[in-house]
Amino acid sequence: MLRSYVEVIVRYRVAVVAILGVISVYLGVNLGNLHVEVDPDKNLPQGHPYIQAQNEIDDIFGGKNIALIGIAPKKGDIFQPIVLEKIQRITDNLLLVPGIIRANVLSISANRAKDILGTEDGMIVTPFMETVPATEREMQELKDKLFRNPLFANSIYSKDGRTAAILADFRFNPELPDFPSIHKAIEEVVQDERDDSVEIHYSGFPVAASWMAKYSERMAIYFIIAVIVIGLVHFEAFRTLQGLFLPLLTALLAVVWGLGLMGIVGIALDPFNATTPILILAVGAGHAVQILKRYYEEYAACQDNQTAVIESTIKVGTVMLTTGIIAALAFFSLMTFQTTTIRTFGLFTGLGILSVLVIEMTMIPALRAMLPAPKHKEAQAESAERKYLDGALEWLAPYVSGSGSKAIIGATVVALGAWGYGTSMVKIDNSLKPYFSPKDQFYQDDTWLNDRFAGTNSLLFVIDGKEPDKLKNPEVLKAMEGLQDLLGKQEAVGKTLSIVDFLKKMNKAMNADDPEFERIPDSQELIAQYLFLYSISGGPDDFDAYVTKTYDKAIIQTFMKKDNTAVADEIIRKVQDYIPKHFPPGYEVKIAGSVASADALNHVMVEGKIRNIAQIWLIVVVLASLVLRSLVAGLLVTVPLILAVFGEFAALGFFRANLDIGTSAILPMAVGIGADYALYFIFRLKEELRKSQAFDEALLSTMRTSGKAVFFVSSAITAGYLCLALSPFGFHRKLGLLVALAMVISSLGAITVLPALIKHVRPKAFFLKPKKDQ
Amino acid sequence: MRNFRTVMIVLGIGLAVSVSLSAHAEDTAPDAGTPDVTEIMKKNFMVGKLTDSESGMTMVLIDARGIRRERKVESFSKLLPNGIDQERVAKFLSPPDVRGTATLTREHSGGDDDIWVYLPALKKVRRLVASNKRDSFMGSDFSYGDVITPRVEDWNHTLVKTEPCGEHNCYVVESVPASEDIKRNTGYGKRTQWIRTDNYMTVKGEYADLAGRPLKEFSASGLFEADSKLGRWMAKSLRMKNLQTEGVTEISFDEIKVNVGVPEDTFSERYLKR
Repeated sequence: MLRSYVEVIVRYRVAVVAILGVISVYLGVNLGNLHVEVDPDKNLPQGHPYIQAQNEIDDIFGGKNIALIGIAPKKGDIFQPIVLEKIQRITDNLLLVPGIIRANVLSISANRAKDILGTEDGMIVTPFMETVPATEREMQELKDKLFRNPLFANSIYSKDGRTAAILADFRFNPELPDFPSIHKAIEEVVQDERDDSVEIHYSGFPVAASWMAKYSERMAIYFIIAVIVIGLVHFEAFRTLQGLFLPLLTALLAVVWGLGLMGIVGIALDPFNATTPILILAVGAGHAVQILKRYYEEYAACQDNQTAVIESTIKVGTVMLTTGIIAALAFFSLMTFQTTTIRTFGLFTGLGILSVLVIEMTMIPALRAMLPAPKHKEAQAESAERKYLDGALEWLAPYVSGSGSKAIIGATVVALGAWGYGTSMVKIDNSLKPYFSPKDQFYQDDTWLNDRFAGTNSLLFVIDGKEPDKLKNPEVLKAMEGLQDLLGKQEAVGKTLSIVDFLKKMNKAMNADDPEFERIPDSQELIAQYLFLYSISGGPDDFDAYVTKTYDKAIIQTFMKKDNTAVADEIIRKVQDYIPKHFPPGYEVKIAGSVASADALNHVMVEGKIRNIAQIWLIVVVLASLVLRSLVAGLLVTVPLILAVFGEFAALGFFRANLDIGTSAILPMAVGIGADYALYFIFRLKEELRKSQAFDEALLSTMRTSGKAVFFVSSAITAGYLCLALSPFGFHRKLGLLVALAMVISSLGAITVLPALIKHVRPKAFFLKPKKDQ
Repeated sequence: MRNFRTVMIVLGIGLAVSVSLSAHAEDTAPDAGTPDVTEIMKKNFMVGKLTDSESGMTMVLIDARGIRRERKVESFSKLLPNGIDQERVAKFLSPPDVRGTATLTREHSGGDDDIWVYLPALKKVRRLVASNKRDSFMGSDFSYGDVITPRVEDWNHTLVKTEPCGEHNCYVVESVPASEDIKRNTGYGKRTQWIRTDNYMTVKGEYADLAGRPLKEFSASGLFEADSKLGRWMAKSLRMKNLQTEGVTEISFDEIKVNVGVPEDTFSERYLKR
């Protein structure tokens, strides 16, 4: 059946190429419909409690996209009109940005930043700076006001008085749809204020995310470089122009088809999937090389172009369809995941692989049949001995089939042991900062700000009393105070701020600034009346950032110098231990903020991706077992894949690289590509074993053909991915190195460990009696 | 605190008065037939000055998410002998946790106003400094500048036009602060008021912030003549919307008595504590 199909393709080759060309153009046009999902919320795991808490409080308190803008004069302290005017203008102009959360804008000149002063008569509440002080006396007054309110120290001014900061918080809206637009809005506000007299730096989660988006866009450049490098390695492998172009054509068309199909079905691409085209490219090139290699092999035997096309397509086609369908199904199975980005990854990769199969089974044989047969020189160049490679493979085959098999298995066991140890050292931790290099502007800005202020990262603890006025309960406020004390003791925490701090300050002020009274009053009525008093002397909206007007919910803002999710986990664990012991029943404490969002995403991604690997592995085992008609063989096929995964984990562990959103995303990619080597190799070995029951002979010819192709493919992909190691962006470097490592391990595993195991395990399906007709 | 005097103003009436403004003489060189804007503003300034009053008031605060909070206040006011400044006392009846909290305000048209607050939980009267007219009035979207009658000469006024407003005609008067101090103190860069031509009551107002952005919208309804002898008017309902925070405050007077001879000791520390 397959034979007649391929013959039809070859016979109507022009029509096939034309039709496939039209389809490609159509799908290419549909790239225009591809929607890139920039709404960061859609990529967050909406079912996670931190994300649910964030969503719940977002329209009340905001706190998701807090940015910190720091300003320092080059000479002297901030108490100079020129610096204060800049602070005032930046504050005023930030308030004009659509999507700014007004209640969360905080600076020396923000109206809600007020001095609470106790006097003999009572309490005076005045804004720190309504207008820039014009006289020395006014300047001194401002200084006094700020320094007697340590509440705001290290948040809007540094303790040494040399730096000031403006805190801003943004909510996404149609005019401010994503992180880059927040970044742009901030830059537009500060750019006019930059001059020789001051330095201005800004950071925070939206800024970091914007820089990441910017770097992700550069992925396109690395994609092109990878294409070129893969092409060059293929050219070296085949030493023919067909060898350079045909695999790349398949791979590129598959990427276009995959993207075009995504455009047609209306599924959006997200920033986490920016690296997926390189995966499809690698898989596509891999299949194409296997089939092309076989084509030259068949041509050498029969010296007829069309026969060679038909024979190679039939022989490798079955294997290719099998491996491709296994891989595609494995990736499609990821669509059962809750997280949008993982579903998109599964769908996109699955569609890409199916595209490879369609193209390789239609367009490529047709095209190859149209192209002239390889000239003698060309065929010779292709089959010419690669001194070192052929030598190595010729040596390897008898070694594996002979005495070396036990050594290989032994070495594998030792390696697995060592890698297991490395894996145990892997830390699950996500931090955006190490994604950047110390030379990057973001890294420098963020470091500058964290050196001077409480921190550029936010963790929010939401105290939900469920009913109005519950947050006026002194018992709860004291529990919050204790929680803030606990948080304040954590190394990563620079500062905490809540309504508790203001109440303590008010109590002190109303008692003639007696430090004895800097505590939460014992009576709920008094608390309510202080708050009322403040509302009639300060502003009714001054506390909007900390407590709802109905006093049913309050938050503790926690500023952190680090955004590491492992640190956040540790803090959250302590908080969760503290809550039931100190908060009265009926109150719930929820966790939100940018660090919590990243933490939630990290947990879901890391756990999700590890489950991805398990799921892909399982599907490969089941399908390969069915196709190879042997459960043992199905399990053996995944040995190189398991080795690759452990190798990756060990590399992370030994090199102290964290398992994070980025690295966890790389692992299933490595598994996806790695499975193909083993499948091609084992199918060829099975085929050869059917010809000859002698394992050593079968392995030698498998090594010369499929083994060689595996080497070509893996070296091309390794070289392509290693280009990413040149990127200044840490995530790209890790991606490049880890995929390259996975390729090396899985290809070596496929041509050494796999045959060694087959030799010893001897799956029945492999050692049938040779067919008489072969 | 000890020698604090009994001076107060009924806050509801103050509110009605609040929106009145006055004009500079130099603004006004009216053409024949055009009303003099200074005269309009002086009449507007005086129209809410009741000799004394006693009222019950409900203040509803509605935030951007539509969550409503209600406060009930009992208040008294009295015009001081200078005929311009008022004393006012306001006692909160609800919500329960601030019940009994009372404020006593004495306007000083020449300087800072005095505000005393009694907190029942503290059992003490405390003095607040309210030099800042932009501060919130009783935690509402009205500011002190909105409720305490500003001096006519603090603003430069321009009569823009006369136009229909509902069933009546209104003068549309634009006022800008006469000095940087006033500007900073009130937080307004410009106020535009619709003042009825028949009784000089402000029925609508639009306020811009210092950067010229729309900040608040005011409206008054249920106007009635409270003292026909002196030609003084009041509004039964007042509404202020903060366009930037989207908060709304609605004030309605449930019962109003004027010229009832509010006793002088109402405006005393002792009364606050009662």
